[in-house]
Amino acid sequence: MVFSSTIFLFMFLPIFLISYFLAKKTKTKNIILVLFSLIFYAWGEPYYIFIMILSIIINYYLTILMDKKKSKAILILLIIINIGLLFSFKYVNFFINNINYLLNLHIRNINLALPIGISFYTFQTLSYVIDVYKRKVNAQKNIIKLACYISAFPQLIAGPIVRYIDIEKELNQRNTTKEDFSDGIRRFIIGLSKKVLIANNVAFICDALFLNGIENTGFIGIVIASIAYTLQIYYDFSGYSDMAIGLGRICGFKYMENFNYPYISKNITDFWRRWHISLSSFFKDYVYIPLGGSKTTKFKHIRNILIVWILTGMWHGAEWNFIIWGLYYGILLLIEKYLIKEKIKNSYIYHILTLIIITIGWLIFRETNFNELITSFKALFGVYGFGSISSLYYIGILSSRYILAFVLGIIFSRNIINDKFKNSFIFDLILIILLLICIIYIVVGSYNPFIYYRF
Amino acid sequence: MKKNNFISIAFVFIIFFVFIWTIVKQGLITLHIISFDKTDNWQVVEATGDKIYDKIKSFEVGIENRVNNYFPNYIGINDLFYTSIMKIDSLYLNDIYLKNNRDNEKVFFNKTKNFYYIVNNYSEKELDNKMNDQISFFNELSNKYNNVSFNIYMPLRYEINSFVNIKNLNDKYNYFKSKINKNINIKALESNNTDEYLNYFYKTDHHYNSYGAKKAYDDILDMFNIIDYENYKHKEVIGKYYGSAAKSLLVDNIYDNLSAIDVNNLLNVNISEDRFKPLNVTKKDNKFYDYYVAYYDGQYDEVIYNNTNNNTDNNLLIIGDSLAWQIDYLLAGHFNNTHVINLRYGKWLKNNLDLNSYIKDNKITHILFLQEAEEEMFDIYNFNLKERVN
Repeated sequence: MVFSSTIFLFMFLPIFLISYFLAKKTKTKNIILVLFSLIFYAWGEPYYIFIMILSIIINYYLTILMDKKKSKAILILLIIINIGLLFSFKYVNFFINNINYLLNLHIRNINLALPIGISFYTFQTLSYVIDVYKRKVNAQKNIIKLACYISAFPQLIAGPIVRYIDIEKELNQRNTTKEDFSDGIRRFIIGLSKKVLIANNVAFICDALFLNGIENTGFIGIVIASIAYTLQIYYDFSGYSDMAIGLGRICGFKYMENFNYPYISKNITDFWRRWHISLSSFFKDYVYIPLGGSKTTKFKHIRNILIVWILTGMWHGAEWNFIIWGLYYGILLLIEKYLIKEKIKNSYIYHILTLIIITIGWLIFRETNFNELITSFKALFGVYGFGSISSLYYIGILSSRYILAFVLGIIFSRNIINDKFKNSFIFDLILIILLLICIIYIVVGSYNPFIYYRF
Repeated sequence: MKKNNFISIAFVFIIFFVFIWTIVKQGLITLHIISFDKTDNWQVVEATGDKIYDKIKSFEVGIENRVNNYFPNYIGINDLFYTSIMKIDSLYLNDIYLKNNRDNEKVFFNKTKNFYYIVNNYSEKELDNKMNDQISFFNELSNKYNNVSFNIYMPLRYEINSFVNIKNLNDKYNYFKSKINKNINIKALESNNTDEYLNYFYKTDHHYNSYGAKKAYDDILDMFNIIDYENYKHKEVIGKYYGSAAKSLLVDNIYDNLSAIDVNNLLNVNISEDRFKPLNVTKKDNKFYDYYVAYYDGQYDEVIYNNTNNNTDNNLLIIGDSLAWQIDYLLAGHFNNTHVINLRYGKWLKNNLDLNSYIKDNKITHILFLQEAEEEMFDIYNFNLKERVN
């Protein structure tokens, strides 16, 4: 189930809100939240719910045992189990394909669909297990509370990757004040608008251009497609995070921020402090620092950076382009760290260069097919000519709603709304209007009839 | 009202209003106080064989269907959305993109001539590759069955892909024709400009109208070297007809008149009683109800017309789609037996067509492929006749 659907907004959410706010005690609220989270997760793919339940049970018992016995062996076992689970579903075919290619073998792929959100809840579980081992937090003795932490539907599918330490108190005792409720709604509507009004519309621009063959629209086509994808991935992901944070707030949780206007970054280092903050901080705390971080020899620091960024790339997907994308950033960060002077790193020209580097990075991220990626780069270097507006005509992207989304996407990627206005009644009125427009888009999107002659 | 109260109350009111509306509407339908025709937007779960999984999916899809289709003023919201886009975009565009249909084709609206058309999502390169595959399919098949008359008819619609206008759509056809074996008869319903196109095709639908159908019928007889001795009349079947494009948008200010060739003076061909029913019999409350399907009752996997008054031994096999529905019964007047096969329905969903046996068993003398031009030239919907007809 996704937040931007009629089934979530007009069936799941009302029933959940009634049930949740009828409950007085936190204990009851936790049970309700877990039950609804399981329904939310099972919707569309009912069987994979058992994998998550199994993961919760194993981690619950073994973490208590690890805590009791202070056993490093159990920690290693838990890490192997969690990473193994992720590997089995996400990476096993990638490795089989590469082994087949290298050794000219014909090992069959395993026919397993990727359970939604597995990368997120595996990392949440890992952070909990490691923090218990490091005595940062106590092992949770109540399985419902642990299930509530791992499976809470607001952040289950696309993060933020919430740390157990951040919500430990709220799992024991929480209340939703009127302010929490209204702030949560505001945040949810902002996220929904980002997703429905901007991300989905710029996604159309990008997809339509690539589907038509980027070589047919030349330089102008690849530039528009790249910018559209840069906007899409930000508004889609940050929109989802906003909705998660908003829903969490409605439930009385305060989840960490995941994005902080990444496209205003002065340099690449700054970008990664503002983009997918919960993932970056996970890798920093659980991989980079344990490896020695920057307080080591230059060689080891370079090694640490490259390891972290290869892992970051791999976390995003089991394809070579993600690994290359990760390495791309690893190398860029090293260059920035060791070769670029501080003054240049903070200049306006470097900000523009950073935006170009990020946009090119998204091109690598998007394209899993190497031939297509090469075609995109050829178009970027003008091999297919400059292109013209007329070549875009029948692609459909000149419609006002796409142009508007594209322009608004660029404008709102910067923090242009001041706090005073955010606290005004007019702002709330605008949000309700945006909600209604989102609903129109969602309703229209839900109409997709079969045309008889096609089947 | 305090600021925090306003946003909370407004949000809760909106989501609970729709929630309660859905529940109440379901209750009224269950109690037969109001009626509701399931539309083509009512999704159906395909059975996987796993009973538990299928039951869960049916439950989920059943709820989703209700939340979507019972939504307050569902048709009106869709209409408002697309009509607004047409009005705004027509300020600076002549061809307005509206949406992607279920086949991921783009539905466009032409402001000047007030009609819809569909643009597929294939690139020029992909289309060329697909065309070469189709050419080899037809050539191999005609070489294999060179003892029967092999024929292809293509109603060329307005569009092929983003870069093709009517002029080079005909060029595509000419290329296809030049590469097809000489023992294959091939003809197309061609339009040289938009007005000519609109004479033959509906404004809101992807099918040809009765004038296009009659032209196709004449062309095919010409291809068979048969002289037409009938003088069929056109008739209007129903006032307002919202074709597939209008139906996919739920916009009601542009419509057609469903027309058909009058079947009163047909040749002696046996026709199922379900076909050509007066439309008041099938009339539904939903104005977007598919009258084209209802009138022709054409979703058959196989129909055999027997002409009792014909003195020829020729038997025709039509491998067609919904474009065949309008003229297959007319063509049947010129053959002894006419077999019409639509591989998208019924028994063909699970079976391939063994053409060799079919020809032998039914003494077929003529084969006619009568499908959408895009399908015949490019296999645009990936029906894969290459694998399915052998």
